[in-house]
Amino acid sequence: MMESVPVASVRLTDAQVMALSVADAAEFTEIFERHFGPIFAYLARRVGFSAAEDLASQTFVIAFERRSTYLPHPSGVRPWLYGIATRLVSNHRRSEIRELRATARQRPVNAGPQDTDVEQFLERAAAESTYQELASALADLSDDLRNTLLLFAWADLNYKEISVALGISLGTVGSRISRARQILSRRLNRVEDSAPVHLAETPSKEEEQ
Amino acid sequence: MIDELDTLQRFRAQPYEAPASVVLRARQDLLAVIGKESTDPGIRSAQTASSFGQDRSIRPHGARSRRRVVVVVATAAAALIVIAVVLIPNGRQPSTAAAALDGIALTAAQQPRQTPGPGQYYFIQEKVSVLETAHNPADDVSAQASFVGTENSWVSPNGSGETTQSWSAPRFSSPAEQTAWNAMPGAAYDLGPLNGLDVFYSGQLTGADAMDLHGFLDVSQLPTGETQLSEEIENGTTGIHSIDTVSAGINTDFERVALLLTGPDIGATPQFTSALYEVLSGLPGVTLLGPTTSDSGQSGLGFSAPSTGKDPTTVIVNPNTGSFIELRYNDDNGPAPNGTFGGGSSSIAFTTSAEWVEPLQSTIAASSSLPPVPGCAAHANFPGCG
Repeated sequence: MMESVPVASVRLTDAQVMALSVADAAEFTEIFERHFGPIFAYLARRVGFSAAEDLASQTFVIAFERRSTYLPHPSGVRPWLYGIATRLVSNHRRSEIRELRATARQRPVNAGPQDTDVEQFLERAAAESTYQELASALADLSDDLRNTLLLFAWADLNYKEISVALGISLGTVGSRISRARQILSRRLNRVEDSAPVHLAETPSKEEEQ
Repeated sequence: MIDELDTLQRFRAQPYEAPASVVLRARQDLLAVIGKESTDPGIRSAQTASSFGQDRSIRPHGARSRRRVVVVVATAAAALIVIAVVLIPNGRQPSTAAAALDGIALTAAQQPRQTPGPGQYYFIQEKVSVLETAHNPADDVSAQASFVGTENSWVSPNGSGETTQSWSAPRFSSPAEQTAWNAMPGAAYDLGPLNGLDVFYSGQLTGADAMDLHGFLDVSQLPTGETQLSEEIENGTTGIHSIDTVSAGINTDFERVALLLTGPDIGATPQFTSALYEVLSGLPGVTLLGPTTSDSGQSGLGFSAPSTGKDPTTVIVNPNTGSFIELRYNDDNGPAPNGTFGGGSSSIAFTTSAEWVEPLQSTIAASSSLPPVPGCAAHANFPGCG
């Protein structure tokens, strides 16, 4: 009779684990172990470490409570989880916008000890300036455009997976990403044309020390 | 020309790794919600049935005192196995149990250490629930009886103390079941009638004798680091006789850890308990059963591992405190000769709790004032007699 005792051997798919978890709730912990890290990273990138703690936890609690509604997808449970996480971010839209605006308002970069020559410093300053404008542009995007674009750029979901995550058609995904990229491109390249070079703000030796 | 997508992918691109404390908290949040679902009677009963385990080599001292003439009913055991197979399919990744145990280890390490105040005694209560099935091959009749044993011990830090053990009268599901049980050879003596409770043993001992009698495990000299503790458990070099002599089986290490968790332990620190869960986490074949209700009605998480018996051995722990709740196993001694005492098989749920209390709460009378153990006149070798 010992043959019936479970022995770990084959990795179950997400869909199999989800199906099992409907009858045996504890199975769902496997979904947590597999996906908590990436979901947390995505949320932390969007709303910051502190807010991500709660949102990541909520994502899995909500997913557990709704597990019987999960429809299997070839990409596994990942798009579904990112969809839940993204909706939670939308509920905390103000936190995300605040984070982005704070980045956009940061004062122009000063040279640091790592900048061994002027060219390197200018490169870094330009990058910082670009990031500030990017943050401002992201904050100005509508929620729908920002969510779609960031699932593509930061969660590495493809168009099909995004359509599952957000419950929108493939065409809508393509259209949103295209529009969002156009907006960002215009803003960033406008900045490049008038790229700020803050040589005057290069710190004195005392400041460096 | 700036590539907006490339810029976006480099923006805030530092690795965002969740700190262990964040993962732990989120895991606990999830386990709490999962735990709430365990109040669903359907889920609970199925999980309880699937995790009721057995093992011949684990034999906590509270359960070692009675041996009965029983033979397991094969059909009932087969039904339990079928439920286990449905709920816990082959091929589950071990990471589920390991992750849950790692989380419990962290929690256990954060618990305050229990230390005795002046004049305090260590109070340990152990309860064992037994369901026995007897089968008389002469006329092919089976009967079941259940009963509960309770052992209370009061032990001072120097090892002196008292222990009493009592057993409830047998319970039967119907009068017909009782009639069938009483017709079993040897069963009538074995279970009573005992008028509810009988004092099985009481004595006042000190030092090593007391420790041995009470079944304490002195873990104060054991390492609190996972690697070293794991080696001692694996090699059977803990220096604790009842742990090191667990007979070799297919999961001896799990059984040893289960016994150490069950205790009662003397000198256990939160770090030691935490290390035990870490050792458990690293063992092969450990399965997370999910929310499991103990025989006494407490909710916890169940973990099991294959045993030398027909069912897995199961440990239930409180994930919020890391405290032990219950050990389940099957005490399978093989069929006894018809009509003789000893042998057989029992399904056992074993629980223990320990706390430091004031000596005034010890209400045990001196051993000389206790009534004689029933049955001793005819069975001098019965535990507690002679």
